[in-house]
Amino acid sequence: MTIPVLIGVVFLIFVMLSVVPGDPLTVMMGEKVKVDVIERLSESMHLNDPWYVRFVWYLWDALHGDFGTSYKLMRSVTSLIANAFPKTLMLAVTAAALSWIIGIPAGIISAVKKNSLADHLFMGAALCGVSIPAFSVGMILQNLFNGILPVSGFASPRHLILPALVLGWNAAGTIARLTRSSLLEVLEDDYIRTARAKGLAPLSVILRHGLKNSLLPVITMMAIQISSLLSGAVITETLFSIPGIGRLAVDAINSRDMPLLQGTVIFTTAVIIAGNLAADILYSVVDPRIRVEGGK
Amino acid sequence: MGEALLQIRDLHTNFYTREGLVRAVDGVSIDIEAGESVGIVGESGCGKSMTAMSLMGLLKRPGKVDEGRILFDGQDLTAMASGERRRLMGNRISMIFQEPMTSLNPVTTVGRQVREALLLHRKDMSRAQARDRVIEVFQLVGIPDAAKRYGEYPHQLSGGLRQRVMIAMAMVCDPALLIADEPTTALDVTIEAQILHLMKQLQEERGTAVMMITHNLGVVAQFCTRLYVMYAGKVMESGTVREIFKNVCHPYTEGLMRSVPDMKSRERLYNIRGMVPSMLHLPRGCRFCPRCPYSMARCFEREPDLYEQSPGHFVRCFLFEPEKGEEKP
Amino acid sequence: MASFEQAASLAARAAVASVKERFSPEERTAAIEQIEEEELKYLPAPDTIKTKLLTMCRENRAAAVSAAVLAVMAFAIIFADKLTVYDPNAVNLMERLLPPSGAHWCGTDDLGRDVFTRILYGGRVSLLVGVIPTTISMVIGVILGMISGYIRRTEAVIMRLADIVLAFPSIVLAMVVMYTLGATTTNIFIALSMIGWAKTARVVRSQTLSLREQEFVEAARGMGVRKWTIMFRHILPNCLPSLIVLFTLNIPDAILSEANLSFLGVGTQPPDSSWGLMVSQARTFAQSSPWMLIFPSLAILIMVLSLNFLGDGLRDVMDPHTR
Repeated sequence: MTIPVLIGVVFLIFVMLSVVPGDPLTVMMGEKVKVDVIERLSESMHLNDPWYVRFVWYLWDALHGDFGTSYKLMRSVTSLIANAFPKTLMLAVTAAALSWIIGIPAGIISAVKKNSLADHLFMGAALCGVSIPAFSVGMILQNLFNGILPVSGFASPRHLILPALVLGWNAAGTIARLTRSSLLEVLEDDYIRTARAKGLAPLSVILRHGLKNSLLPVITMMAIQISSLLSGAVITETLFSIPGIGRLAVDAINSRDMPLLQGTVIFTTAVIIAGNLAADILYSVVDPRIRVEGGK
Repeated sequence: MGEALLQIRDLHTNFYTREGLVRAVDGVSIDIEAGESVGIVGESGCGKSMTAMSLMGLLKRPGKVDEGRILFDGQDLTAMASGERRRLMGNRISMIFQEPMTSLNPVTTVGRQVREALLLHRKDMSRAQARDRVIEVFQLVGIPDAAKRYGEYPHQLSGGLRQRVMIAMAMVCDPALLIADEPTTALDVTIEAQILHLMKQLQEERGTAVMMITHNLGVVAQFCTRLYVMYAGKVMESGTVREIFKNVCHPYTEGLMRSVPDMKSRERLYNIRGMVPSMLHLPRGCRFCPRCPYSMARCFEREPDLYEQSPGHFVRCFLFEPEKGEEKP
Repeated sequence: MASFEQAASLAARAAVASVKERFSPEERTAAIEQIEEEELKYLPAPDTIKTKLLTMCRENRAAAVSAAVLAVMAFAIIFADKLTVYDPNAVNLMERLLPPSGAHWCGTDDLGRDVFTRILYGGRVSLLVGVIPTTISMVIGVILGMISGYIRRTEAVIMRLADIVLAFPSIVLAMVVMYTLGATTTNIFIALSMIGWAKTARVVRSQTLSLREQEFVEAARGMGVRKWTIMFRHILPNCLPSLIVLFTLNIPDAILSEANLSFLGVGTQPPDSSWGLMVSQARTFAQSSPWMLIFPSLAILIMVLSLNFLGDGLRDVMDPHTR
């Protein structure tokens, strides 16, 4: 199931970018190149072949870890990605950790103290978190913390604080809302009544019987979150000038650098698919019903 | 009668719903002696489960016990601090629910779920001791391969086995009172008989008092010594099973009895006319009068009290109102 | 179980009592009918979409207020030309970067344009971007979702397609589409529609799968109703409540996506304006002229927040089971 989706992704991107007008070699080397040089290069890059032949070549090379050469930067796309990805990963992981540390407890408190002041505050904040563009928040933070914290670049862990906050704030809202609604639903279940009938204290009921069940959908959400974190990274990295993979994609678009764009998009998508796979595995570890039925 | 183990006195449980006030339990009094098994019978929605939930302190919002006392061993549960009350729950008083399929936590092994109750109330027990004890109780309630089943998850067990696990969970602390809320309704008929047999056996061996909530008079006839018939939040008739089955008094009880299919009779099965009234709006007089085949003018005007028909046999029906001037028996 | 004797004795007792009472069968029937009539008043109101909306307005103050706020915003945006004296694109270098005042409620930008006016006009793009792609993507999503849920053969293809679309980080896919097609407002609609349908299709498919097993659909099938008729007459109306919710919650997504695209330079192009573009244009001036940043941000926040509140409220009354 994963493989066809991945091939579909590559295909879709390839076709979309192939129809863009403009000769890549002109983009690459400027106007003053000898005709025979262009001919030779075209040959070696399969540029004269029909698009489906090129697609197969591309797929073949990509399987060997070769995403081609960036037109503008004249470096292999693979090495550019290898350089940029760790930075994006650090940003995304910090943001994700932040969103869980804030989101899950906030969701639990809101569910347990439903309709209390804390619930309204948390849920209001969570809703604001998903209701404002990340770059608005980012710009506001940049201005508030200008001089206190670094507002651009990627030189030290301190540089990570603001971007991770911007990226994590949105995700925390989603997680908090989901945790709350999922826990509220679980607390209505019959086995919660059984646990209470045993004489368990309300808090133990929630922690021992409610939480594990209610986190199942949250795990799914975490997988989906990888996608939105990488999406958000595009914005955050642009805003905070972090040379990560999102920034790479934006640069590729601005300089019409097709192989670079193709490479970054396909790579991020592959990461997302891998993340979904990991979530499926995690889910089956937590939920015994899936473990036994196996693969179903 | 002396001091009964459980004395529910004039219990009022109300639900403050959006549509209005629902008096789910409306002045119910029930006594259960130690070791006795008592049936609570009625159609769904008559307040029998809500009586049990009030007793266990498991009412969900917007439900609330507004009036009345629940005396267990002479202590008033409604006046107790919640921590103190929880020490009784699952320990001296325990409960079995109707839905064995959903009443167990799907992501924890059944053994641990039962052990949890034991560890909670027997602080001196080690985990290993508790485990052994749980397996012992599993064997007692007739779970085959008890040691293996201990580590299994609820979805791996059949409905009947799950209900046995629920019974094990309820019995593991040797309660003085067991509340069984329709314990066999969700099960196959053959399994139902086995489970009832098991409960009867446990009750007799251990001297546990049982409050059997059911809509099935057959179950009551087999299992209980005394019986309360509830309708729309009120007790309509109460007495010993023997007395009521011999001399049924309330028209509602009569209707219930005639609704039970009888193998011997080829007569068309009786059904009680109409439906359970909306709890939001009860008739002004007797709540059963619109469905009662014998209703009289005064039934539509005011509610009858519980009249003692014969010693220990109470009926809430004007047909059994002592004549004016006649001495109360 | 009860013997005839007992029944007879109860009946006899009743007969004696009723002679004493002088209560005729007619009177009795009348009394019963009166009770039943009173009870009818207490039956729950029928569950139509209209009654659900009324319930929501009565019980969920946040949702009701949000609906009102949205109405006011939509009104202001639509009648922008009547509400302001300024031209949104009139450059006035004499009045650059003025702070908020009586004349310029939200101040002016780096070209001396009135920020409040630009918010009203820019709202047009944001509103259109919210509504049009969402509508298109939902139509596509509903049709594909129903087909894949009802006609099993098509399921694999349609759902894999949805998987592919959902596998992309949404902004990246939108970026690529905008790059391919060129940055115009129409292409924003196309890009967002291309992405948005997949989510709707999944929801509709899963609902169709459960609805097709239900008795009324089986009955229709049994009577030989054609499958397209079943889909549009029986299944679609039953998906409607969740579709209304989904619609309300997809609009803010689209608005935020447009803002993000504009920030990245592949969305709305100057001199046109949208809220997202206004915020991103404020970047260089945010320190000295924060009003350029704050007011358009607030406009987005208020609109998206209201839509989210409204969507949550709708979900609570329309289909409480999906969260």
